[in-house]
Amino acid sequence: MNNPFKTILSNTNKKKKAQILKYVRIVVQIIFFVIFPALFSQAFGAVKEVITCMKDGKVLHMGEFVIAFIILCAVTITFGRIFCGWACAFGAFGDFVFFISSYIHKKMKKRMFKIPDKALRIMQMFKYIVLVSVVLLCYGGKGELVTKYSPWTVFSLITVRNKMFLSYKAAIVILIFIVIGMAVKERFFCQFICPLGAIFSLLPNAFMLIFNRDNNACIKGCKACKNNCPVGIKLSENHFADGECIGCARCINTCPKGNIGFVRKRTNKAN
Amino acid sequence: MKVFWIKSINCILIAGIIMGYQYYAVKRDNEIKANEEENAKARQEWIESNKNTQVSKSSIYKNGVFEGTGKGFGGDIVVQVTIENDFITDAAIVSADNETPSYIDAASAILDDVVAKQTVKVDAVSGATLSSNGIIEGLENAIKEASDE
Repeated sequence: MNNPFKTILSNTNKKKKAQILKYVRIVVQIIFFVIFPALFSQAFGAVKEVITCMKDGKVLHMGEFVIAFIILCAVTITFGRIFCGWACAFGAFGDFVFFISSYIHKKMKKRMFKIPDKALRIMQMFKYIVLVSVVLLCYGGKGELVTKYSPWTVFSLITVRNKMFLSYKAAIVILIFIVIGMAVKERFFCQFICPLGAIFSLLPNAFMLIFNRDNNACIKGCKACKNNCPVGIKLSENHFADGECIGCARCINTCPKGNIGFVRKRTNKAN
Repeated sequence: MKVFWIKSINCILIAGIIMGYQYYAVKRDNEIKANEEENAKARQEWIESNKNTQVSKSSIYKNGVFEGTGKGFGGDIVVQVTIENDFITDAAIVSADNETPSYIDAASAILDDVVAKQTVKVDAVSGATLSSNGIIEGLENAIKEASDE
């Protein structure tokens, strides 16, 4: 049963599968970028719309935005934040920026800057502040301000090649800062700023975890999965419950032993 | 596990608040609608009664259908306003070729607002702010057209 040759073989098979998964994800991201380049801002637009309507005492109607938001919430509750990792155009844009940045770093043989664990956790809280401020601004009837300063406005205007984005100067500055952030830290916007991500991470995940690790089979002291995770999740600990996981499946790619799988194992008492 | 239940309860609470709000909003809206129908009736009667006695001489705006253009999300939006004896009786979108349909759908809610409130100074639909602003700009231009001699 413990034939070493067999284990190596099965591991390489697992790794091959993981590599395929990596490319599948890139293809899915490109497809979604082309077909639904504005899904994230539409879904969040629904939140702003509902709050503005509630302020005015208007009847809420099931527009396309609201339906998009409800579908995305349902997906997140059942499968976790796979929308963020696989389908969001802004997330894909961030991945692209980081890809270029890490390529340049490699060429120049420089190490990427690493944010310490604790700082990362604190910075991840910032997106809730963004969410609360947007909600309060909309409720205070200042929804226009959100549009004015939103980097998404500029981003979506650029994607449709509308020159009007030049008139949103403050938003352009913010977008440039975010792009710099994206180049420094993978998924910078998604984990630190995105208010839609904040909503998604507050949703319960029906399966509790998407990825699971068989801790007993781990190499001692190996932290490959955590070090490569764009949002710094420690698989062995309880962090999946905090909703930061974007389902990017990087950990599956990384694990030298092919030790991480999709389904929750009964033996793991992580929760 | 505890986190899961806390999150679930929060979600249900928020969904509940929104549904409760919606229930009362619909109830109130029905009352307002009934009121508005009466207003519209009165307005129509007023227009009818003034048709014979008063030619649109003293009115601020010309009668007729006026078009105006505004800049939306993807390009120009052309809207039209129908004015009868200084009342806005209709507002509609003529063309919005470069707009995303879902955005224009959401934004066109302001057209009803314009007729109900009898002003083009209405709030943009959030989530479709740029398309809304284009429509409002077009409406303003149309009204200008109507007031020009």
